[in-house]
Amino acid sequence: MRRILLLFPVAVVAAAAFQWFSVSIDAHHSEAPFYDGEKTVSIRGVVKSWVFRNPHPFLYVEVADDKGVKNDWVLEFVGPVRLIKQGWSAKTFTPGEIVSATGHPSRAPGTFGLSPLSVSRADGSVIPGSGRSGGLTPENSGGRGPGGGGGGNN
Amino acid sequence: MALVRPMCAAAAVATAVLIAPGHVSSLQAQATPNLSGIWQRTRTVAPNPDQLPLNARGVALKEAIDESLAPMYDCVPATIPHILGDPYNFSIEQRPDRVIFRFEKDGVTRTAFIGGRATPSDYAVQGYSVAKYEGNALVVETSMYTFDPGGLEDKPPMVPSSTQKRTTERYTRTGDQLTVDVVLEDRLIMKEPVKFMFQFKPTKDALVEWPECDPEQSRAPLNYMPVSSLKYGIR
Repeated sequence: MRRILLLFPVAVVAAAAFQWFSVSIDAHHSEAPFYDGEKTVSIRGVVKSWVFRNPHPFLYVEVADDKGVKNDWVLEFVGPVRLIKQGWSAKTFTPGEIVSATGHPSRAPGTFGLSPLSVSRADGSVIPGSGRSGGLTPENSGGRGPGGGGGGNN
Repeated sequence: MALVRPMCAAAAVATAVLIAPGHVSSLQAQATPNLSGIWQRTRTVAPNPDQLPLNARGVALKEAIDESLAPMYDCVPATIPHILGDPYNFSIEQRPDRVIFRFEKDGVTRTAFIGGRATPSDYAVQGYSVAKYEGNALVVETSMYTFDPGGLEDKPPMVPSSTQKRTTERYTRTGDQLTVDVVLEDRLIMKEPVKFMFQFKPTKDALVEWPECDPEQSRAPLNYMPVSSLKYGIR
């Protein structure tokens, strides 16, 4: 019994170390090389097209800046399989409709990519699953989940 | 004493029946774990990517590989173990001569032949898999993987795997919990094997069909990498 008690702290430390070196491995491609997670921008514009394909669907949105200059922004979402489970489809967006989005901008100068945190309709309603989690919660992701650290954007 | 002889005879007959080939295979069939169904991931335990026991070649290859070189940007699917770690469901179908794994992720279908095939297939992205039952476990050993820039770690900084990559998956079921223990080896790149563990629960949701991957769309995000972050200037 005494030996067991002596070994108990060792077991606790070993278990803690195991947890420390254990992480989840969600990944298709990581967000970090492409989008600046330390910056957040908001846009509002007109949908030009919605391409619901693998590995990541793109929403093309024409956005006018404060000087009236129009740029085509490209919103990149999580994988379509996860979005299908949220009720998304090739008809989720219609060309001509107004959308607003908040997200992390692309890193390369002169590009207008956006990794959305949320996307809203013209009436202000947020579209479920439009953020980096793609509708996942820690409970159903089985791990750290997308959007956490370097993983995500599956 | 009169009763002993018939009892011995009966015991001998019973023993003979028990060890008869047909009965042995019947016992084995009874022992085969029921793993069939659709599974949803609940837990992942994986080595910290920075703690992989890389040898000198592995360290050099890790330094050499650029994000833009990842096969995923050309629609090449993920492999074991990482395909088990993404938040997608997968199914197991147990047939007498093979086990078929279907993944929502990347639309991958893997076939592991019980006892292998006489003529192994060529090197392949998903390798060549042989399955066997050991007690209450299904064991799948896979080799003959093609070189993969993200085969040992598919998040940046990626770690490639060589044709020496081997994986051993051990599937066990306790009630409604499926546990998959994976041992990942690559003697060309790592000093020692590393272990992963994934757990799943049954789900009644059907597998969602993976829409076809668009290579152009797959590479598009690479344009968002600043030139300064490209090791070799190649997108």
